[in-house]
Amino acid sequence: MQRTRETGWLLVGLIVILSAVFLAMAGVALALAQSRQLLSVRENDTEAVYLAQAGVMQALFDFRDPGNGGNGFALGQYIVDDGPGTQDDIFILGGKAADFLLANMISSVVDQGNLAGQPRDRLRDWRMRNVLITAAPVVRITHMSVAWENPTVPFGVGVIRIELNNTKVWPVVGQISTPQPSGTLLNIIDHTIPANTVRVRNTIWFSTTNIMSAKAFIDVTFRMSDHVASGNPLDASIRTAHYTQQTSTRSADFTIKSVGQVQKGAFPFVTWRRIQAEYRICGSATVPTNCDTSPEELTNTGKLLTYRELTQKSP
Amino acid sequence: MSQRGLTLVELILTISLATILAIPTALLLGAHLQEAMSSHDSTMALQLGRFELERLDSLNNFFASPDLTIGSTVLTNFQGYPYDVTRAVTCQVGDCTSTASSSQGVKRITITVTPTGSAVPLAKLITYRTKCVCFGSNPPLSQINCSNVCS
Repeated sequence: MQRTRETGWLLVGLIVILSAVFLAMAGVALALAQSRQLLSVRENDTEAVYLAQAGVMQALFDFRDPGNGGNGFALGQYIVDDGPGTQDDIFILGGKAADFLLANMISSVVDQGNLAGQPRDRLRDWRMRNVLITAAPVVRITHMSVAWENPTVPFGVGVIRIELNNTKVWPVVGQISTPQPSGTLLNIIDHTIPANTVRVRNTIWFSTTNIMSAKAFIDVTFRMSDHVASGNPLDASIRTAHYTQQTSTRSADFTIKSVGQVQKGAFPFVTWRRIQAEYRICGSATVPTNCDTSPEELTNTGKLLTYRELTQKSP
Repeated sequence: MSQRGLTLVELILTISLATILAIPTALLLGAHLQEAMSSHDSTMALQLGRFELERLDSLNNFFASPDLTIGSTVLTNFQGYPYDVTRAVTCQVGDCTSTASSSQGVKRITITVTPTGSAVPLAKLITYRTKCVCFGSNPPLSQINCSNVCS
Protein backbone atom coordinates (compact mmCIF):
# COMPACT_ATOMS: atom_id res chain seq x y z
CA MET A 1 0.00 0.00 0.00
CA GLN A 2 2.83 2.31 0.89
CA ARG A 3 4.58 1.75 -2.49
CA THR A 4 1.32 2.31 -4.53
CA ARG A 5 0.80 5.83 -3.09
CA GLU A 6 4.41 6.79 -3.82
CA THR A 7 4.35 5.69 -7.47
CA GLY A 8 1.15 7.70 -8.13
CA TRP A 9 2.92 11.02 -7.55
CA LEU A 10 4.54 11.00 -10.99
CA LEU A 11 1.21 11.07 -12.76
CA VAL A 12 -0.53 13.42 -10.36
CA GLY A 13 2.39 15.82 -10.27
CA LEU A 14 2.66 16.08 -14.02
CA ILE A 15 -1.06 16.59 -14.43
CA VAL A 16 -0.98 19.40 -11.89
CA ILE A 17 2.04 21.09 -13.48
CA LEU A 18 0.67 20.87 -17.02
CA SER A 19 -2.72 22.14 -15.88
CA ALA A 20 -1.06 25.12 -14.25
CA VAL A 21 0.92 25.84 -17.40
CA PHE A 22 -2.22 25.57 -19.51
CA LEU A 23 -4.12 27.94 -17.26
CA ALA A 24 -1.25 30.42 -17.32
CA MET A 25 -1.13 30.31 -21.11
CA ALA A 26 -4.86 30.84 -21.30
CA GLY A 27 -4.47 33.91 -19.10
CA VAL A 28 -1.75 35.31 -21.31
CA ALA A 29 -3.88 34.63 -24.37
CA LEU A 30 -6.71 36.62 -22.87
CA ALA A 31 -4.38 39.48 -22.00
CA LEU A 32 -2.97 39.54 -25.52
CA ALA A 33 -6.43 39.56 -27.02
CA GLN A 34 -7.35 42.55 -24.87
CA SER A 35 -4.11 44.25 -25.80
CA ARG A 36 -4.93 43.76 -29.46
CA GLN A 37 -8.36 45.28 -28.98
CA LEU A 38 -6.89 48.28 -27.19
CA LEU A 39 -4.38 48.73 -29.97
CA SER A 40 -7.23 48.70 -32.46
CA VAL A 41 -9.00 51.40 -30.49
CA ARG A 42 -5.81 53.46 -30.38
CA GLU A 43 -5.38 53.11 -34.14
CA ASN A 44 -8.92 54.35 -34.73
CA ASP A 45 -8.36 57.12 -32.21
CA THR A 46 -5.31 58.38 -34.06
CA GLU A 47 -6.95 58.07 -37.43
CA ALA A 48 -9.99 60.01 -36.23
CA VAL A 49 -8.05 63.08 -35.16
CA TYR A 50 -6.48 63.42 -38.60
CA LEU A 51 -9.91 63.03 -40.18
CA ALA A 52 -11.14 65.85 -37.95
CA GLN A 53 -8.22 67.93 -39.14
CA ALA A 54 -9.22 67.11 -42.72
CA GLY A 55 -12.64 68.55 -41.91
CA VAL A 56 -11.11 71.85 -40.84
CA MET A 57 -9.15 72.00 -44.08
CA GLN A 58 -12.24 71.23 -46.15
CA ALA A 59 -14.16 74.01 -44.40
CA LEU A 60 -11.37 76.49 -45.04
CA PHE A 61 -11.20 75.52 -48.68
CA ASP A 62 -14.94 75.98 -49.08
CA PHE A 63 -14.73 79.33 -47.29
CA ARG A 64 -11.97 80.52 -49.58
CA ASP A 65 -13.20 79.01 -52.82
CA PRO A 66 -16.27 80.41 -54.61
CA GLY A 67 -17.75 77.00 -55.29
CA ASN A 68 -21.21 75.64 -54.51
CA GLY A 69 -22.78 79.01 -55.21
CA GLY A 70 -20.45 81.20 -53.18
CA ASN A 71 -17.88 81.38 -50.46
CA GLY A 72 -18.69 79.46 -47.33
CA PHE A 73 -18.84 75.96 -45.96
CA ALA A 74 -21.74 73.62 -45.33
CA LEU A 75 -22.32 71.64 -42.18
CA GLY A 76 -22.84 67.91 -42.22
CA GLN A 77 -21.09 64.68 -43.01
CA TYR A 78 -18.32 64.18 -45.57
CA ILE A 79 -17.01 60.75 -46.56
CA VAL A 80 -13.23 60.58 -46.77
CA ASP A 81 -12.70 56.88 -47.34
CA ASP A 82 -15.43 54.43 -48.27
CA GLY A 83 -15.32 51.18 -46.38
CA PRO A 84 -17.39 48.05 -46.58
CA GLY A 85 -20.91 48.67 -45.36
CA THR A 86 -21.00 51.28 -42.66
CA GLN A 87 -17.26 51.15 -42.07
CA ASP A 88 -16.47 54.57 -43.45
CA ASP A 89 -13.91 57.15 -42.49
CA ILE A 90 -15.76 60.44 -42.32
CA PHE A 91 -15.71 63.90 -40.81
CA ILE A 92 -18.64 65.97 -39.66
CA LEU A 93 -18.69 69.77 -39.59
CA GLY A 94 -20.88 71.49 -37.01
CA GLY A 95 -21.06 74.32 -34.51
CA LYS A 96 -23.22 77.04 -33.06
CA ALA A 97 -24.29 80.34 -34.58
CA ALA A 98 -21.51 82.43 -33.06
CA ASP A 99 -18.90 80.09 -34.52
CA PHE A 100 -19.89 81.21 -38.00
CA LEU A 101 -19.86 84.94 -37.33
CA LEU A 102 -16.68 86.44 -38.69
CA ALA A 103 -16.23 89.90 -37.16
CA ASN A 104 -13.35 91.49 -39.01
CA MET A 105 -11.98 94.31 -36.87
CA ILE A 106 -8.82 94.80 -38.95
CA SER A 107 -10.32 97.54 -41.07
CA SER A 108 -12.23 99.24 -38.25
CA VAL A 109 -11.70 102.88 -37.33
CA VAL A 110 -12.25 104.92 -34.18
CA ASP A 111 -12.99 108.55 -35.04
CA GLN A 112 -15.67 111.19 -34.58
CA GLY A 113 -18.89 111.87 -36.42
CA ASN A 114 -21.92 114.06 -35.96
CA LEU A 115 -24.84 112.44 -34.19
CA ALA A 116 -27.89 114.32 -32.95
CA GLY A 117 -26.14 117.59 -33.65
CA GLN A 118 -22.97 116.84 -31.67
CA PRO A 119 -19.58 115.36 -32.51
CA ARG A 120 -19.35 111.87 -31.00
CA ASP A 121 -16.79 109.13 -30.81
CA ARG A 122 -17.60 106.07 -32.88
CA LEU A 123 -16.17 102.68 -33.72
CA ARG A 124 -17.04 102.09 -37.33
CA ASP A 125 -16.53 100.00 -40.41
CA TRP A 126 -15.80 96.64 -38.93
CA ARG A 127 -17.00 93.89 -41.22
CA MET A 128 -19.29 90.98 -40.33
CA ARG A 129 -19.69 87.87 -42.43
CA ASN A 130 -21.70 84.67 -42.19
CA VAL A 131 -19.15 82.06 -43.27
CA LEU A 132 -21.74 79.38 -43.98
CA ILE A 133 -23.09 78.59 -47.41
CA THR A 134 -26.27 77.08 -46.00
CA ALA A 135 -29.23 78.80 -44.40
CA ALA A 136 -29.07 76.75 -41.21
CA PRO A 137 -28.17 77.39 -38.51
CA VAL A 138 -29.35 80.99 -38.62
CA VAL A 139 -26.73 83.56 -37.72
CA ARG A 140 -28.84 86.09 -35.82
CA ILE A 141 -27.61 88.62 -33.27
CA THR A 142 -30.04 89.38 -30.45
CA HIS A 143 -27.86 91.21 -27.93
CA MET A 144 -24.60 93.13 -27.91
CA SER A 145 -22.30 94.51 -25.27
CA VAL A 146 -19.35 96.83 -25.60
CA ALA A 147 -16.45 97.01 -23.15
CA TRP A 148 -13.35 99.21 -23.19
CA GLU A 149 -10.18 100.04 -21.35
CA ASN A 150 -10.56 102.21 -18.23
CA PRO A 151 -14.34 101.85 -18.38
CA THR A 152 -15.17 104.68 -15.98
CA VAL A 153 -12.78 107.23 -17.42
CA PRO A 154 -14.14 109.79 -18.05
CA PHE A 155 -17.12 109.53 -15.74
CA GLY A 156 -20.35 108.88 -17.60
CA VAL A 157 -18.82 107.47 -20.81
CA GLY A 158 -21.15 105.02 -22.50
CA VAL A 159 -22.66 103.60 -25.66
CA ILE A 160 -25.54 105.63 -27.04
CA ARG A 161 -26.34 104.01 -30.40
CA ILE A 162 -25.53 100.95 -32.50
CA GLU A 163 -25.97 100.57 -36.24
CA LEU A 164 -25.55 97.31 -38.13
CA ASN A 165 -25.61 97.28 -41.91
CA ASN A 166 -26.21 101.07 -41.79
CA THR A 167 -29.43 100.53 -39.85
CA LYS A 168 -30.06 101.46 -36.24
CA VAL A 169 -30.59 98.37 -34.12
CA TRP A 170 -30.28 100.01 -30.72
CA PRO A 171 -31.86 101.81 -28.96
CA VAL A 172 -35.10 100.30 -30.12
CA VAL A 173 -36.92 103.60 -29.52
CA GLY A 174 -35.40 107.02 -30.22
CA GLN A 175 -32.25 108.13 -31.97
CA ILE A 176 -29.88 107.79 -29.04
CA SER A 177 -29.95 106.24 -25.60
CA THR A 178 -28.70 107.47 -22.31
CA PRO A 179 -25.03 106.37 -22.09
CA GLN A 180 -24.78 102.70 -21.21
CA PRO A 181 -21.65 101.75 -19.24
CA SER A 182 -18.95 99.36 -20.40
CA GLY A 183 -20.14 95.75 -20.44
CA THR A 184 -23.88 96.46 -20.38
CA LEU A 185 -25.89 93.82 -22.25
CA LEU A 186 -27.94 95.66 -24.85
CA ASN A 187 -31.06 94.07 -26.30
CA ILE A 188 -30.89 95.06 -29.94
CA ILE A 189 -33.39 94.65 -32.75
CA ASP A 190 -32.57 91.14 -33.96
CA HIS A 191 -30.15 91.27 -36.84
CA THR A 192 -29.80 88.29 -39.17
CA ILE A 193 -26.85 87.83 -41.48
CA PRO A 194 -27.83 85.47 -44.31
CA ALA A 195 -25.47 82.77 -45.53
CA ASN A 196 -22.50 83.94 -47.58
CA THR A 197 -23.31 87.58 -46.82
CA VAL A 198 -21.22 90.49 -45.57
CA ARG A 199 -22.28 93.47 -43.44
CA VAL A 200 -19.93 96.38 -43.93
CA ARG A 201 -21.40 99.57 -42.50
CA ASN A 202 -21.49 98.93 -38.78
CA THR A 203 -21.04 101.63 -36.16
CA ILE A 204 -21.07 101.96 -32.39
CA TRP A 205 -21.59 105.51 -31.13
CA PHE A 206 -20.29 106.71 -27.78
CA SER A 207 -21.30 109.65 -25.62
CA THR A 208 -17.78 111.13 -25.67
CA THR A 209 -15.68 113.18 -28.07
CA ASN A 210 -11.99 112.47 -28.73
CA ILE A 211 -11.86 109.96 -25.87
CA MET A 212 -12.34 106.48 -27.34
CA SER A 213 -9.51 106.80 -29.84
CA ALA A 214 -7.11 106.79 -26.90
CA LYS A 215 -8.47 103.53 -25.46
CA ALA A 216 -6.11 100.59 -25.77
CA PHE A 217 -8.96 98.22 -26.60
CA ILE A 218 -12.67 98.06 -27.29
CA ASP A 219 -14.36 94.66 -27.13
CA VAL A 220 -17.65 94.07 -28.91
CA THR A 221 -19.57 90.96 -27.86
CA PHE A 222 -22.34 89.47 -29.95
CA ARG A 223 -24.93 87.19 -28.38
CA MET A 224 -26.72 84.95 -30.82
CA SER A 225 -30.24 83.56 -31.04
CA ASP A 226 -29.44 79.86 -30.32
CA HIS A 227 -31.26 80.09 -27.01
CA VAL A 228 -34.58 81.00 -28.60
CA ALA A 229 -35.38 77.45 -29.71
CA SER A 230 -34.47 75.83 -26.42
CA GLY A 231 -35.75 78.59 -24.17
CA ASN A 232 -32.60 78.33 -22.10
CA PRO A 233 -30.58 81.59 -22.04
CA LEU A 234 -27.43 79.59 -21.37
CA ASP A 235 -27.68 78.07 -24.85
CA ALA A 236 -26.91 81.40 -26.50
CA SER A 237 -23.55 81.33 -28.22
CA ILE A 238 -21.38 84.44 -28.11
CA ARG A 239 -18.46 85.89 -30.02
CA THR A 240 -16.26 88.74 -28.90
CA ALA A 241 -14.51 90.93 -31.44
CA HIS A 242 -11.42 92.74 -30.27
CA TYR A 243 -10.39 96.23 -31.42
CA THR A 244 -6.94 97.50 -30.50
CA GLN A 245 -4.93 100.46 -31.61
CA GLN A 246 -2.45 98.12 -33.27
CA THR A 247 -3.90 96.63 -36.43
CA SER A 248 -2.03 93.36 -36.10
CA THR A 249 -3.68 92.46 -32.81
CA ARG A 250 -7.26 93.13 -33.86
CA SER A 251 -9.43 90.04 -34.12
CA ALA A 252 -10.73 88.69 -37.41
CA ASP A 253 -11.52 85.07 -36.85
CA PHE A 254 -14.18 82.41 -36.91
CA THR A 255 -14.48 78.92 -35.48
CA ILE A 256 -14.61 75.51 -37.13
CA LYS A 257 -15.70 72.44 -35.21
CA SER A 258 -14.97 69.12 -36.84
CA VAL A 259 -15.50 65.53 -35.77
CA GLY A 260 -13.44 62.68 -37.20
CA GLN A 261 -15.24 59.35 -37.14
CA VAL A 262 -13.80 55.87 -37.69
CA GLN A 263 -15.58 52.56 -37.54
CA LYS A 264 -13.46 49.52 -38.24
CA GLY A 265 -10.96 47.17 -36.68
CA ALA A 266 -11.25 44.64 -33.90
CA PHE A 267 -13.80 46.63 -31.94
CA PRO A 268 -17.20 46.92 -33.55
CA PHE A 269 -17.96 50.43 -32.36
CA VAL A 270 -17.39 53.94 -33.62
CA THR A 271 -14.50 56.14 -32.53
CA TRP A 272 -14.87 59.92 -32.54
CA ARG A 273 -12.36 62.72 -32.06
CA ARG A 274 -13.59 66.30 -31.97
CA ILE A 275 -11.45 69.35 -32.59
CA GLN A 276 -12.10 73.06 -32.64
CA ALA A 277 -10.01 75.37 -34.77
CA GLU A 278 -9.84 79.14 -34.65
CA TYR A 279 -9.08 80.60 -38.08
CA ARG A 280 -7.87 84.13 -38.61
CA ILE A 281 -8.34 85.71 -42.01
CA CYS A 282 -5.50 87.83 -43.39
CA GLY A 283 -3.13 86.07 -41.03
CA SER A 284 0.10 86.89 -42.75
CA ALA A 285 2.34 89.40 -41.09
CA THR A 286 2.96 90.96 -44.46
CA VAL A 287 -0.63 91.98 -45.16
CA PRO A 288 -2.37 92.61 -41.83
CA THR A 289 -3.53 96.10 -42.72
CA ASN A 290 -5.07 95.25 -46.05
CA CYS A 291 -8.18 93.26 -45.33
CA ASP A 292 -11.17 95.46 -46.01
CA THR A 293 -12.59 93.82 -49.12
CA SER A 294 -14.17 90.44 -49.71
CA PRO A 295 -11.42 89.14 -52.02
CA GLU A 296 -8.83 90.06 -49.39
CA GLU A 297 -10.80 88.43 -46.60
CA LEU A 298 -11.25 85.28 -48.60
CA THR A 299 -8.00 84.75 -50.41
CA ASN A 300 -5.28 86.45 -48.39
CA THR A 301 -3.15 84.02 -46.48
CA GLY A 302 -4.96 82.80 -43.39
CA LYS A 303 -3.75 81.36 -40.17
CA LEU A 304 -4.97 78.65 -37.85
CA LEU A 305 -4.51 80.28 -34.48
CA THR A 306 -5.47 77.38 -32.25
CA TYR A 307 -6.41 73.74 -32.36
CA ARG A 308 -7.96 72.14 -29.32
CA GLU A 309 -9.83 68.97 -28.61
CA LEU A 310 -13.44 69.14 -27.54
CA THR A 311 -15.11 66.85 -25.06
CA GLN A 312 -18.76 67.37 -25.86
CA LYS A 313 -20.53 64.75 -27.88
CA SER A 314 -21.75 66.77 -30.82
CA PRO A 315 -19.78 69.34 -32.81
CA MET B 1 7.15 -7.11 -10.68
CA SER B 2 3.73 -5.83 -9.84
CA GLN B 3 5.26 -2.56 -8.63
CA ARG B 4 7.35 -2.09 -11.86
CA GLY B 5 4.28 -2.79 -14.11
CA LEU B 6 2.29 -0.10 -12.41
CA THR B 7 5.07 2.44 -12.97
CA LEU B 8 5.17 1.69 -16.69
CA VAL B 9 1.40 2.13 -17.03
CA GLU B 10 1.61 5.38 -15.14
CA LEU B 11 4.41 6.59 -17.35
CA ILE B 12 2.46 5.79 -20.51
CA LEU B 13 -0.61 7.55 -19.14
CA THR B 14 1.43 10.55 -18.12
CA ILE B 15 3.06 10.86 -21.53
CA SER B 16 -0.32 10.54 -23.20
CA LEU B 17 -1.85 13.23 -21.04
CA ALA B 18 1.18 15.44 -21.46
CA THR B 19 0.87 15.11 -25.22
CA ILE B 20 -2.83 15.90 -25.14
CA LEU B 21 -2.14 19.04 -23.12
CA ALA B 22 1.01 20.01 -24.97
CA ILE B 23 -0.61 20.20 -28.42
CA PRO B 24 -3.07 23.04 -27.61
CA THR B 25 -0.48 24.69 -25.42
CA ALA B 26 2.00 24.75 -28.29
CA LEU B 27 -0.68 26.14 -30.61
CA LEU B 28 -1.53 28.77 -28.06
CA LEU B 29 2.10 29.69 -27.64
CA GLY B 30 2.50 30.10 -31.37
CA ALA B 31 -0.54 32.33 -31.48
CA HIS B 32 0.86 34.36 -28.59
CA LEU B 33 4.12 34.95 -30.36
CA GLN B 34 2.37 35.90 -33.58
CA GLU B 35 0.06 38.30 -31.77
CA ALA B 36 2.90 39.85 -29.85
CA MET B 37 4.81 40.48 -33.06
CA SER B 38 1.70 41.85 -34.75
CA SER B 39 1.00 44.23 -31.88
CA HIS B 40 4.56 45.47 -31.95
CA ASP B 41 4.36 46.04 -35.71
CA SER B 42 1.05 47.87 -35.46
CA THR B 43 2.28 50.11 -32.65
CA MET B 44 5.46 50.96 -34.48
CA ALA B 45 3.60 51.58 -37.73
CA LEU B 46 1.11 53.88 -36.04
CA GLN B 47 3.82 55.89 -34.35
CA LEU B 48 5.83 56.22 -37.55
CA GLY B 49 2.74 57.32 -39.45
CA ARG B 50 2.01 59.95 -36.82
CA PHE B 51 5.63 61.06 -36.90
CA GLU B 52 5.43 61.72 -40.61
CA LEU B 53 2.12 63.59 -40.41
CA GLU B 54 3.31 65.72 -37.50
CA ARG B 55 6.46 66.51 -39.45
CA LEU B 56 4.32 67.66 -42.36
CA ASP B 57 2.28 69.81 -39.96
CA SER B 58 5.45 71.49 -38.81
CA LEU B 59 6.18 72.68 -42.34
CA ASN B 60 4.73 76.15 -42.19
CA ASN B 61 4.30 76.44 -45.92
CA PHE B 62 3.01 72.93 -46.03
CA PHE B 63 0.81 73.16 -49.10
CA ALA B 64 3.60 74.29 -51.39
CA SER B 65 6.26 72.16 -49.74
CA PRO B 66 8.16 69.77 -52.02
CA ASP B 67 7.15 67.05 -49.56
CA LEU B 68 3.55 67.60 -50.61
CA THR B 69 4.04 67.50 -54.34
CA ILE B 70 1.30 65.52 -56.05
CA GLY B 71 2.44 61.92 -56.35
CA SER B 72 3.60 59.03 -54.25
CA THR B 73 6.86 58.75 -52.34
CA VAL B 74 8.14 55.63 -50.60
CA LEU B 75 10.45 56.25 -47.68
CA THR B 76 12.21 52.94 -47.09
CA ASN B 77 13.46 52.00 -43.65
CA PHE B 78 11.79 55.10 -42.30
CA GLN B 79 13.79 56.74 -39.53
CA GLY B 80 16.04 53.70 -39.45
CA TYR B 81 13.28 51.25 -38.61
CA PRO B 82 12.38 48.21 -40.73
CA TYR B 83 9.22 49.85 -42.03
CA ASP B 84 8.42 51.69 -45.25
CA VAL B 85 6.28 54.82 -45.19
CA THR B 86 4.41 55.66 -48.37
CA ARG B 87 3.29 59.27 -48.62
CA ALA B 88 0.64 59.60 -51.32
CA VAL B 89 -0.51 63.11 -52.19
CA THR B 90 -3.47 63.63 -54.48
CA CYS B 91 -5.56 66.65 -55.36
CA GLN B 92 -8.85 66.15 -53.56
CA VAL B 93 -10.58 69.17 -55.02
CA GLY B 94 -9.77 72.44 -56.78
CA ASP B 95 -6.47 73.57 -58.21
CA CYS B 96 -3.52 72.10 -56.32
CA THR B 97 -0.74 73.23 -58.62
CA SER B 98 -1.21 76.96 -59.16
CA THR B 99 0.71 79.25 -56.82
CA ALA B 100 -1.82 82.07 -57.12
CA SER B 101 -3.56 82.79 -53.84
CA SER B 102 -6.85 83.28 -55.66
CA SER B 103 -6.79 79.68 -56.86
CA GLN B 104 -7.77 77.28 -54.12
CA GLY B 105 -7.23 73.58 -53.68
CA VAL B 106 -7.23 70.74 -51.19
CA LYS B 107 -4.58 68.05 -51.13
CA ARG B 108 -5.33 64.64 -49.72
CA ILE B 109 -2.44 63.03 -47.88
CA THR B 110 -2.45 59.31 -47.23
CA ILE B 111 0.30 57.84 -45.10
CA THR B 112 0.59 54.07 -45.34
CA VAL B 113 3.10 52.11 -43.27
CA THR B 114 4.22 48.62 -44.27
CA PRO B 115 7.00 46.33 -43.11
CA THR B 116 10.03 46.86 -45.33
CA GLY B 117 9.68 44.73 -48.42
CA SER B 118 6.03 43.92 -47.76
CA ALA B 119 2.84 45.26 -49.24
CA VAL B 120 0.71 44.51 -46.19
CA PRO B 121 -0.41 47.82 -44.66
CA LEU B 122 -0.03 48.05 -40.92
CA ALA B 123 -1.32 51.60 -40.49
CA LYS B 124 -3.08 54.09 -42.73
CA LEU B 125 -3.70 57.73 -41.86
CA ILE B 126 -5.55 60.20 -44.07
CA THR B 127 -5.83 63.96 -43.80
CA TYR B 128 -6.23 67.07 -45.96
CA ARG B 129 -4.27 70.26 -46.44
CA THR B 130 -5.65 73.41 -47.99
CA LYS B 131 -3.84 76.25 -49.63
CA CYS B 132 -2.65 79.54 -48.15
CA VAL B 133 -3.32 78.55 -44.57
CA CYS B 134 -0.56 78.27 -42.02
CA PHE B 135 -0.38 77.33 -38.38
CA GLY B 136 0.47 80.12 -35.99
CA SER B 137 -0.35 82.02 -32.86
CA ASN B 138 -1.80 85.42 -32.15
CA PRO B 139 -0.61 87.88 -31.01
CA PRO B 140 1.83 88.89 -32.26
CA LEU B 141 1.41 87.88 -35.83
CA SER B 142 4.97 88.75 -36.68
CA GLN B 143 6.30 85.77 -34.74
CA ILE B 144 5.06 83.42 -37.40
CA ASN B 145 6.05 83.97 -40.99
CA CYS B 146 3.15 82.92 -43.12
CA SER B 147 4.22 84.89 -46.14
CA ASN B 148 5.19 81.91 -48.29
CA VAL B 149 2.37 79.51 -47.72
CA CYS B 150 0.81 80.10 -51.12
CA SER B 151 3.81 80.03 -53.37
